[in-house]
Order: sequence, then structure tokens, then C-alpha cells
Amino acid sequence: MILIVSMSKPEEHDNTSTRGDLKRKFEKLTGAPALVQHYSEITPKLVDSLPIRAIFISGSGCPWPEVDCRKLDGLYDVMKNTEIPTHGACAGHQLLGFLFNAEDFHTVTRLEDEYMRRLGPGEPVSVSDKHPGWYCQSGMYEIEILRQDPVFAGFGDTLTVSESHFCEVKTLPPDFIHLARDDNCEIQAMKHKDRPIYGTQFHPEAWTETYPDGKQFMQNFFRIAGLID
Amino acid sequence: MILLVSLERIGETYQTSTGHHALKCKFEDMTGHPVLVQHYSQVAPELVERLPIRAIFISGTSVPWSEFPTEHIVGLSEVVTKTDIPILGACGGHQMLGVCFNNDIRTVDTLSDDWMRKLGPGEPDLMPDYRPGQYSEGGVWPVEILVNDPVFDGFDGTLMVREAHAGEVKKLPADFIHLARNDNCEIQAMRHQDRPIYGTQFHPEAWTDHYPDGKRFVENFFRIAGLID
Repeated sequence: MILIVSMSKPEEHDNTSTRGDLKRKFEKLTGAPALVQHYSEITPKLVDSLPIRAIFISGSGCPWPEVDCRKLDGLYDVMKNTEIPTHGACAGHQLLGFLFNAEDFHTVTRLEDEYMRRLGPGEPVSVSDKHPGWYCQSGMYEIEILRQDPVFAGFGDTLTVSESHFCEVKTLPPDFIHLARDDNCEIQAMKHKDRPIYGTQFHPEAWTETYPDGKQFMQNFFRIAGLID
Repeated sequence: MILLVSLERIGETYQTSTGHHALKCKFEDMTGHPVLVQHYSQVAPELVERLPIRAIFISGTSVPWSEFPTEHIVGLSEVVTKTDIPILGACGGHQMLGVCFNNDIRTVDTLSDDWMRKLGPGEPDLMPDYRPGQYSEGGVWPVEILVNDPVFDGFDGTLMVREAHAGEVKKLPADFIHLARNDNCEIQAMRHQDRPIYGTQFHPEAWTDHYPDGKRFVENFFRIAGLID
């Protein structure tokens, strides 16, 4: 079973339909069932009670200052110790940054949006309705692999993947390895040094037929988790 | 964990339905247990054995029975006819229990729709977009309890519940007890004589503040399953 942790706003979780697409995509890719739970519902007790083989932490459209940190305590307690292969994408990646950069996340009371950079004069805007004045990396971008890892099996030095973000992880957490970068965002991918916990600023799960690298990446991740041969 | 089996078409409602997701959240709020949504074609004994499933809910469907690929029901049929896990099938799910217990599904090529009755001359068609020409029971109707059972705890003779159907179970399966009826539809509720397997032609899960009986019914079911004190 795969656990998909939804990072949507709590009030939108009940009505969201987008997670169904992701759930179906992972079920088709692996043959394993995928359980969608909101981040505020995640606790060590929940995770221990189910035969979960992989955890995926989704993206989010929610500004970080609006997130109630106490609703992330359960997920923090899971991530501190779990040996279950975990992949956080986009906001999920940024969340791994917050959780692992904190000395004790239980004492953190507010999260900040860590923008990549301000837009330059006359620079075109790709997404106009959110975060005005800040640069948004949006579209399919080539990412440079800095370090080989099983999650990059089948790639040469680069992969081309979907990007859709204003913010990034500014500081590599202690115990994490920097795996990939591009000129827009230094920490495009990172991994825990001892446990199979991956963060990607890109959205490998948003592959297309023309740009299938993300699919290969997800297959590699689920292979690490033992869900694909 | 609760297993919510979707009887809708895969790729359409299963994937994108806000309805199933809203129902998942409703059951999670009610019981405190996570709900895994799976399409009926994904349900098989191996799935159920691998997961700590304490109750199974089988949804309604908008798909005519004549369009169900029977080879995709085999796994679900094996589960419902053999398991000791408490099951509640509502509307299409109730009819699915009828299909599974009245047939050896492996020998059936196509299923047929068992309508309640044709509309009479001049009788208004209240759901003309659903099954034109057939009588549809739609709205909130009284249902008469025939046999007392823990699932009717707190009711006195009748309950007022949501109905939305044109088909019905015509033949009580062997080993089943006829629990409830009304003048529109004889088999409004049934249960297996030895195991906690319930079928209801009505939709208890579609309770409202004004008509809360369905909520009590679903709570009774989850209490039987040991998920509510």
C-alpha cells in the first residue's frame, strides 16, 4: 500500500478531486492500492497500523504562513524515525526541508514562504494570480544530476521534468545529500543520507507522453520501495 | 481501515469523483479510521488479506448492469461470498450483493437490469434523465422494518431514508434474511443469516440534518464492525 499525504488546505481536502488522479496514476504504475490522507491526519499510530510500503507527500497551493504547524506534528513524528521510503514533491519537498531543518519541529510556530527570487524589470510572468512580483518556475525544465543514485537509474546527466513553484528549500537539512540542481533553483532534489527519504522541487508525478522522464523517476522510487520489480 | 468499493466506471467517477472522496471523509470523521477507496475491478481476496480491513462499504452506481464487465466482478464476488469482514452495500452495492450471491459470476456473461416496474400511463417520470420510462424511487421515503437487528438499533418500526433507484433485488439470495420493505420495493434491506453482510436499497450514507436516520443506521453498522464504541 502507498500512502499519499495530501498537502491541500484542510477546508479543501473534503472536496478535492485532483488527488484521485494521482492515486489512480500510482495504482496503475505499481498495482498497489494508494490511500489518500490529509497531512493533519498522519500520526505514527496510523502509519504503524497499516502495511505502508511507500509515502508520497504531494504539492500544495497553500502559502506556508497559513499552515497550522501543530497539524504537522504527527507527520513530523513519522518522518523523524520512519524507514518507509518517502518522496516529497514540490511543497512536499519544501516540507521535508522545514521538518529536517528544525531542531525540534514541535516548537516551530510559523513557516515562511522562501521565494526563489524577485522578478526583474520587464521579466514576463507565467503565473499572474499568485505571489505577484516573485519568479515562478513553471513548465518542463532540464535538471542537472549532481550525484548518481538509484532514483536516477536510466538517466544520463539530466532529466526533464515538470516545475511549478515560487518557493524552494534554501538550506540543505543536516543529514541530507544534494542530488540535483538547475540555474533557477539550487536544491532541485535531495535525499537523506541514511534513509530512503527523497525531496524533489520538481513534480516527477506530472509526466506527459512527450516528457516521460518523471515516470521513470517515479518507477525508480517505487522500485526502491519494492513495489515494482 | 475501511474499504470503500466504487462501482462507478474506472477513469471517470472512480478517478475524479468528489462524491467518493466526500464519502471517504464522512466515514473517516464518523469512525476515526482511514478509508481506502478502490474500484471494484481492483478488489480481490489478496487485496483484502494484505490489509487490516475492518469493514467494507460498496457504493451505488450510475452504470446499468447490462454494461458491467462481469470478468471484473470475479474478485469482488470471491471476497463478499467468503469474507467474515462486515459489509454494507447500498443501492447499486446492495444489488451487487444480489448479483454475487444469486449467481456464480464466473459463469455469467452479461447481467441484466431488474427494474421495479414500468411507469403507468400518464404517470410522471420524476427522473427522466436516469432510466426513462421506468419507475424511479427518488427522495426520502419511509422504510418498514420487518426483522429486528442490531443495524436497526434506536429505530422503532420505520426509518426515513434517501432513495435513488430504478432497479432492485428481485430475489432474496439463499442464506439471506429479508429485513425491510416498502410499497415501492420489497427488498429494501437484507442481511446474510450467519455473517454481518448487509444490503440496503436505500442510501443510508446520504443522510441530511433534517433526515438523520441514515446516519444512525451507518453508525450502527460501524458499531457492528467494532469501529465505533
